Amino acid sequence: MFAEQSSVGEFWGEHALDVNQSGFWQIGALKLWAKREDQQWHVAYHMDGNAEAVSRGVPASSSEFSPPEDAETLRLVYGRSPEVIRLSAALADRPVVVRPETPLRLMPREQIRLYVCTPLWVRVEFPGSSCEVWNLPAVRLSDTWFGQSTRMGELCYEGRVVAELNPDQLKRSPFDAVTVVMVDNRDSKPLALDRISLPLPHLALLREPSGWFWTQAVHVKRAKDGGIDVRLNGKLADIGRRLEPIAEPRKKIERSSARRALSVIMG
Amino acid sequence: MEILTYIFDQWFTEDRIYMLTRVALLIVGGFLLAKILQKVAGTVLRSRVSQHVALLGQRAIFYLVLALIFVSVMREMGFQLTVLLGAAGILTVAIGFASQTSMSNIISGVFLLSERPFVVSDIIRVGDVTGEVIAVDLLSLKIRTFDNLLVRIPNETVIKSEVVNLTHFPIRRVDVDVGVAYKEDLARVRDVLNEVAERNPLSLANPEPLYIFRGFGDSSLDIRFCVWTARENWLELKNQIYEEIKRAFDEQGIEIPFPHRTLYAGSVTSPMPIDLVTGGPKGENQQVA
Repeated sequence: MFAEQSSVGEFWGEHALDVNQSGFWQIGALKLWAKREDQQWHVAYHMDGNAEAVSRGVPASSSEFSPPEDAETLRLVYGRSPEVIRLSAALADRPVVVRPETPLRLMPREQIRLYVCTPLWVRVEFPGSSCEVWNLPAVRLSDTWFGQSTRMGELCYEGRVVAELNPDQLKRSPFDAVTVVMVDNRDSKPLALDRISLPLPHLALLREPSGWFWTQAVHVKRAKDGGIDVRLNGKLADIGRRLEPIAEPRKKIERSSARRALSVIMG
Repeated sequence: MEILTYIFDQWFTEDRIYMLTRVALLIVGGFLLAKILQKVAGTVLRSRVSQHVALLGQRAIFYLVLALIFVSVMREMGFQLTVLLGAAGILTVAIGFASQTSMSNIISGVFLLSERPFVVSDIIRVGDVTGEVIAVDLLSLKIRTFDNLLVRIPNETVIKSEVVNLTHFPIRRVDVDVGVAYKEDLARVRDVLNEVAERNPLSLANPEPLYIFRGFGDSSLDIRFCVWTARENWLELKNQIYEEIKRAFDEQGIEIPFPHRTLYAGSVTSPMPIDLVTGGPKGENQQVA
């Protein structure tokens, strides 16, 4: 289905640095610098303005600690500095809106699978300390509003999001996660798929042994009476891949509010 | 000295000392109880109602407990409550006449509470004052302005004034008024403006930016370009978008004109000829014919 790449996961995980050694990582538009000293860590990040220009991740490589002047920098002070810095993947902190280039209609009594590719976020943390240093997007998506009016709705992201019906046509980067959206229209009228809000904060992040990322699948079913039912699938067995959970959903959905939280997925 | 000893012995009888001890205990214990109940009420209410209703609830409980303590202390000291209440009734009428403004403010405060046009921590504008609401009290509204001043506005004034809540809805619009020279192609200007909004991640993709042609101005074609953003990013986007529009117009060679003035002295006025002579010292050898 997708081309195997062994190097996709090189910048994820724990990176050990000796005292006075520096590290540099680039993940999408996000550049990270870190330097370990005896009693402190210097960390810095910078987002390149043009995400498309750096749409491929560059694996980690050691270099000097020399972030640009406008980079966000921080010093973390310890009695004795930890040896490793951890970069872990996470999903976006807001829903991401998928908008087909041309309006899409799912015909009556038909079902499809949409493969949606969204950029990951990067958690910067030090093992042993419970607080994360930063939680940053690999690619800065544009803000958008998803709702019936300017009064009611939700702030979401929109932008570099790719959706395909055929998974083989999906061009994804090592800093992307794929969500399978299964849409089932049991109504006698066509279902408009003009905008779909992917509830990423409610989805768990999964990973193949080869390093590619997936999320829990989303099932959208329009019943005969026109009502929309949305469910999140815990497993992705039908993808035909062995997947391991990497990160829990950012927000847990209470059973009582699940229907309300997910009912605004179509717009 | 003997007189003092006599008075002391007469007044500080065993019963009186017992009574005074009970009064002291009532006051100290009552005050502590009021504080504890105020804290408990705050914890319970904050998870159920808005912050400023919780604040008012806390204060109401505190003063209610203090009132009960006052009544108990009076009773302990031997005052007859019926007489006290009668006197209080008369006093209330007198105070009522004397404190119409205060009563008006209290009633206005109740209306503000039920209407809820804003809550604590909202940014509002009342008249000329803009700032963050830090308390909605019995008599007045307290606002912290952005230059860190405390402004107290009587509740009655708030009820009578136009109040603008700047943070009620989660998204806001930034309106940019810009003029371009008469020679410019408006379709191109529109495209450039849309590209500027699209490139800025704080500008919402939906609702889409709004382009309004406002008319033929004195010196320019007047345009209003409206972009939406999350309310917390409003100021940041406003600063960014003006800079970005100016930069994009400069790059695209779109002119933002200065005001033009044409001097006209009648229908037969011919253009004024101007000869500039350069090369001489400043102020010399320059002629305007």
